[in-house]
Amino acid sequence: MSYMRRILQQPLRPKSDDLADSAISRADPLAAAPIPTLVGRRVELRPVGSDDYDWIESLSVLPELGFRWRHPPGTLNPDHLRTHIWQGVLAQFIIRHRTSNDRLGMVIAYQASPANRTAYVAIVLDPGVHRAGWPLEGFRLFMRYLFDAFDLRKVYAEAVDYNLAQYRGVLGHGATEEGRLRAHVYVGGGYRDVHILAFYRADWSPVSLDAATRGEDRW
Amino acid sequence: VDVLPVDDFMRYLSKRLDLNHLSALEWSDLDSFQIMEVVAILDECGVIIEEEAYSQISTMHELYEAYIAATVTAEVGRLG
Repeated sequence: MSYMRRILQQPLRPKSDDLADSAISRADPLAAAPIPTLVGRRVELRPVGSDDYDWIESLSVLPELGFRWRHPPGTLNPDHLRTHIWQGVLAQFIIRHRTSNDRLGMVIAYQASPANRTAYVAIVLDPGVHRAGWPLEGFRLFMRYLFDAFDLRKVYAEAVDYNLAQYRGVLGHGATEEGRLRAHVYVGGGYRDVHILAFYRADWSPVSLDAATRGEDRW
Repeated sequence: VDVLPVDDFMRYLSKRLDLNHLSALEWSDLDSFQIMEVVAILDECGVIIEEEAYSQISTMHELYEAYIAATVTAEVGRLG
């Protein structure tokens, strides 16, 4: 009997409380890591380097990404780029393909609130890999890093209504919608709703999950 | 080589993705996070499809073919 046939008999989507004992955590080297790791099976996160800024600028001006970038509409002065992309940032990394070394995108945590132990997260992917799926391993690595490296309770993401469908796969499975700002942003000639999604520590952090199973979870 | 028949393969992924309500699992119905989960599920099962191959997939049938190819490749590697 193949491994896939055997695993077919196992619970298919464990509750977060069960995750530490699940087939996913047993098979996933990340889940067993007691410390934040930035290396996944297919991608890794590396710090932004001085030779990345031209690439970041090229991404920021792509029509596909223009409305999703963290800066307001308009053109960004290249001389201000280095300062701008670090404004309000808690942490950000380049998502790198481990085999080819290609840059795939960026993950950014910003607007952190130490008093409330929250932050916002954003991801930008090269349009060439938007639908590939596997580059989003970088998002998973980053979420785990955020919860394990910082004292955060939950992390928010903002999605303009036309982008919400991209998060359909995680809504109810690691993310919940906690708010909607009606007619909040002016895009494409009209005001659009912005949805606030929340990612909770217990759903993303292997360290906190391990602590929870030992009765040490303090969140 | 022991591989799932196509119907079982589709049923398995539908259950893992909580998409049992769909009459047929279509690649175009999946968002990027769901595709990420498909990749993670297959990785977890030891079915390692190369990144370049994922980029070429646009239908569930093409995913199934990639699954067969990766399974055969892994089995040949194991025997070889």
